[in-house]
Amino acid sequence: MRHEQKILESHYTQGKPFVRAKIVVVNPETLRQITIQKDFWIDTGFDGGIHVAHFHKNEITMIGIALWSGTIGIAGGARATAHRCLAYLQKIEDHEFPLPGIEAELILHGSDRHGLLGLDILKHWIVEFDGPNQFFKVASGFAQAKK
Amino acid sequence: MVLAVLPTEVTILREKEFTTERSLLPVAAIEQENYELLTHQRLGPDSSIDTRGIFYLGDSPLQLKEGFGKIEPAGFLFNYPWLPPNAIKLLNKAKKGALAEKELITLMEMLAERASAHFQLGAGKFVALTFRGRVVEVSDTRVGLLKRLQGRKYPEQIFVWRIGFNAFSGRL
Repeated sequence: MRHEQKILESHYTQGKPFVRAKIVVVNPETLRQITIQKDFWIDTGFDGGIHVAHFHKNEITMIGIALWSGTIGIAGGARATAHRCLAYLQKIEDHEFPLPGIEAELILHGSDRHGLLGLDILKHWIVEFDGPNQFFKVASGFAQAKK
Repeated sequence: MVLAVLPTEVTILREKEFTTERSLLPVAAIEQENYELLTHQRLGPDSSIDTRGIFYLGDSPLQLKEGFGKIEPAGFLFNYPWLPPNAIKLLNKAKKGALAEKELITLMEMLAERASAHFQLGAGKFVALTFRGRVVEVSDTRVGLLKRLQGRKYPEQIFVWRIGFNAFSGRL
């Protein structure tokens, strides 16, 4: 048996499941923080957490956060360099998560104006895609133990 | 005639043996003295050279930590793996200027490979490494690793890697 609590239901935008989300990066030493609010594409082909364009790097480093270098596998099997840090997903559409939010890896790479929410975020939810009707549902859920 | 010759030969042989035995003793003593002198010179501080507290045994420097009397081998650090020549070349190039993206990826890949072999890191572990191959942090999850790193300042530049994978995260 499965219990679900609805987080959001929405139609696709331009043929893709987009959501508006609020991401916060906090410097644990100084407690200074920055907020990134933008549209994110729910991407089941991305195994990371949250992906945003590289230009956000300046905002993040301004609060004294050091970004860590690394690689990212991109479409076609190629690899690119990327920067990353820890971030919190605090809000998705009108649904707010308990503070400090969902911990996730934030990857800064590329220049796409929209972000990506990958499998490392989606693992927290039940996500259903209704392709023919261009509709998707996100719910928090848990399986009840069998008696 | 015959009897007269034999003792002479025996005498010569004995003399040779004696001469040989006698000559060995001072040579061995000199060599021993030389060895002790050389060892003493190598280990002892030379007033004409500022060794900055580093003593040398052969070519390897031995660092003596003040106060503890503990000898640390500065020439061979256990927490730094041996790096392949290509990695050293790229590191030297990076000191002079920025590396191309491909070169940086190759360098990170080589360092991660060496570090995982040296420190026997299991596949799937998320690690933070310095560009000299030293492991800074290890975690089973990517978020766990980033949580440990966030807000901390490191004297060396760090990169993150997933052992056994060619990218930390990726898109298909």
